[in-house]
Amino acid sequence: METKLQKFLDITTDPYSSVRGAKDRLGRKVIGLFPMYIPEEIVHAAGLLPVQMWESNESITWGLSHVLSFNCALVKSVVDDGVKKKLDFIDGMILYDTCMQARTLPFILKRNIDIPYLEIIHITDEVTNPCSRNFQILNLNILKESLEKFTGGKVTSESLKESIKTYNKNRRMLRRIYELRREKPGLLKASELASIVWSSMLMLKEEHNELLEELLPVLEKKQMDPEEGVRVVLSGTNCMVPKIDILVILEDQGMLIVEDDFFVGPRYFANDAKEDVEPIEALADRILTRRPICPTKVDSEVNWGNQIIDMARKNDAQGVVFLLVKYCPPLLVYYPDVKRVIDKADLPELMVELDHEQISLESLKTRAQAFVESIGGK
Amino acid sequence: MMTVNQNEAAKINRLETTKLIGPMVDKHWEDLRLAKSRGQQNVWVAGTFYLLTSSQDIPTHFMAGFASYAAGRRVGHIYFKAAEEDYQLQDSCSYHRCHMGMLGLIRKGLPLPENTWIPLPDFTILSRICKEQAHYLESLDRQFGVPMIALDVPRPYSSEHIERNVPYVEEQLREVAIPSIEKLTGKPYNMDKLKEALVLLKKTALVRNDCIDLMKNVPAPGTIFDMCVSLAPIMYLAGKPGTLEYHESLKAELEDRVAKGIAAIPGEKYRLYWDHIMMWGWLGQLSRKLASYRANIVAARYPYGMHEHAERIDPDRPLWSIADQWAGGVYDLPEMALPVISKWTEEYRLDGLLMLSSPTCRLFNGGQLDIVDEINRKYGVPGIIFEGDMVDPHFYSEAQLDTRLQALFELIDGSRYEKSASIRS
Repeated sequence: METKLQKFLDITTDPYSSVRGAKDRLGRKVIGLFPMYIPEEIVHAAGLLPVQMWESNESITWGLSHVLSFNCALVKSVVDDGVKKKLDFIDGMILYDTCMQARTLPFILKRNIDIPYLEIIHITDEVTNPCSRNFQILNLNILKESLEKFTGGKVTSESLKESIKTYNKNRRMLRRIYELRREKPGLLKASELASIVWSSMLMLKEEHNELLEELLPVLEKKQMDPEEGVRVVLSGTNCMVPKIDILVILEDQGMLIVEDDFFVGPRYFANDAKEDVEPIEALADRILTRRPICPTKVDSEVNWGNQIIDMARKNDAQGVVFLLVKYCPPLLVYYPDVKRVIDKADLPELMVELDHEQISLESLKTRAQAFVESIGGK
Repeated sequence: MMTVNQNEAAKINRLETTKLIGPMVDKHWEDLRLAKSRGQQNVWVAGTFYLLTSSQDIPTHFMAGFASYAAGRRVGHIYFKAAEEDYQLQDSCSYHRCHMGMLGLIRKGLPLPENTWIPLPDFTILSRICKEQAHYLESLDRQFGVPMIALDVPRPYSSEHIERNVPYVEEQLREVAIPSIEKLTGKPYNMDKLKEALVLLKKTALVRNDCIDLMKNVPAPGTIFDMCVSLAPIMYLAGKPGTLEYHESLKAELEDRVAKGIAAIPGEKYRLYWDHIMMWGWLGQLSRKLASYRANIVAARYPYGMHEHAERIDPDRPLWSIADQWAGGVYDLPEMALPVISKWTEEYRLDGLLMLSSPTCRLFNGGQLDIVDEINRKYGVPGIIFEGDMVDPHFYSEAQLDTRLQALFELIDGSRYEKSASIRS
């Protein structure tokens, strides 16, 4: 099992080399997508390699000449990587205004990075607005045409349907892995699981599917000893990859992580795109799907806090750890409402703030240990 | 080297007309505060679609307007403290925290600052010109169950985007906003009243734009602070009695000053551009500080971007007009702002850029560093960025601003010296 897991870890340990290597090997141009909702399937069907942009693990330096320090880690990091030419293997980017900070990335990147292709599309947050669907379809068609112009090829309905099938297959297998973790807590460490999902965002989906097909039977068969640790669920992070060292610390302090609602998790692989309808419409409908809750989407009928409580109850969790990305506007506004609801339900919660420059891990260890002890651990 | 002693008494020729705005604004917020006791509904708006309900004689709250009002009335700190005690995080939008603090006090039944509060709304209208403002009304829905009308207003990165976005926004106004307002008020929507309000807004905004044009005169007859406090008549007071008269009076006073050569800042030495929303809590302090250097801010994308193209308003196409004014314009995105700031650098004969960067308001921050760089490269006009906030004192350091202002003026002086030296040689 370790060998099979290592293949995923190899991809995420150094995403720059992994993506560059895949590009050279596959002969596909690489398109970076700003997370979270640009449909990768359209880029894939255009014969390109879509990857979700990631946060580097280097200090932000040159980028601060172009982006102010009080932006989120991902925005700062993408700009910093760009001006340092660490992204020179990326042939294009597709951006949208996930938030107020991501909204201004196109200007900064266009002005400072030599990038052959940069497209800006609109992804609606108004998932309950009856006018949104047609406009979303219009925007996805514009993206398709723009990619056709870039590649000189045609994105046919058939190729899109094939891509949707490939992506649905990937989503189904990732969902199964999450189910297995629920069935057999401790089957995978949170950091391993994050690596499995994150690698899907960095690889050609067909290749990731092959890795999952190798791994899944091993996970299905694996017998688990009785679980140990205080059961907790994780939430937050918005569009960022959860920091691996933080996940490791949480588990080292005695937490048994049984579920999460991360973007590098269920929000990435939830909801298949329909395979029996016009593909662009299917992809628009997937964007407009209201679950799982995302703090960037408008949905008056649900409260994220209640979803977290449900997630904890269903998984028999004793507490929740919320990873709050510093300077993330959607989280900054939503978190107080989440906290109010969680407190009212007497669900113990530990909030950990994430910034690019790492928080004190020693201090986190102490807090995590105290949290575990306070909710019944040893 | 600085030639002006900052301790020297600041000389500012204040306008008479701007003294009229206080009572107009006070009445607006009083009408809102008393709406419920008068048996009226009241509506809160995040974004800019206040005309939809204010034209129907429904007291309508404009988020930015109330936060700046509270800061101006020196009660902001009460609300920020209450917000922190009610789970709010300090890095979130200060306008948001101002409102959440007030609502926290209301929820807990605690005392509110006299005459500077407003009751919970009957419904809200949100758009995503600023996404954080939209999030705040979503929170109102989650916390208090206040119904919201959510509109998607994509920001334009180019004129092509505007062409695409305006029909989409218009469609939402027609298909979502108007039917929802009818449902929530229980009354048919009176489109004629909206048209009337637009007729008055257009006239008022055109006169206001003439006022802005007068700021191109050297010396300028007014200051950016005059222009900012005169914003309400074309924003949340739009279409209300007295708004056109206000701006006609302002224009006449500015024209008179131009004719007589009267400067707002006697001996005007530096003509500056201001970036970002105004620091409402420090209007007096900031204007005196700049005047002590004989510096005058004569241009700014906020507020000049608001209804800059009022001539496009067509009252016979009311929903299209509203969509068109707000789906474009504003210049919040740097792509759209840079060409305008470039144009203004020449038209207003700018000497420098003064860029407020607010850690809690992300509407105008993005790209500021590159804008400063571009204007400096293209026109030799330097700029500085300083941290502050519209209303929250926690994020403003006067010492930092002083240091940066001195640096800016030294850069400008140095550049002038070099130019004169090259002419002499």
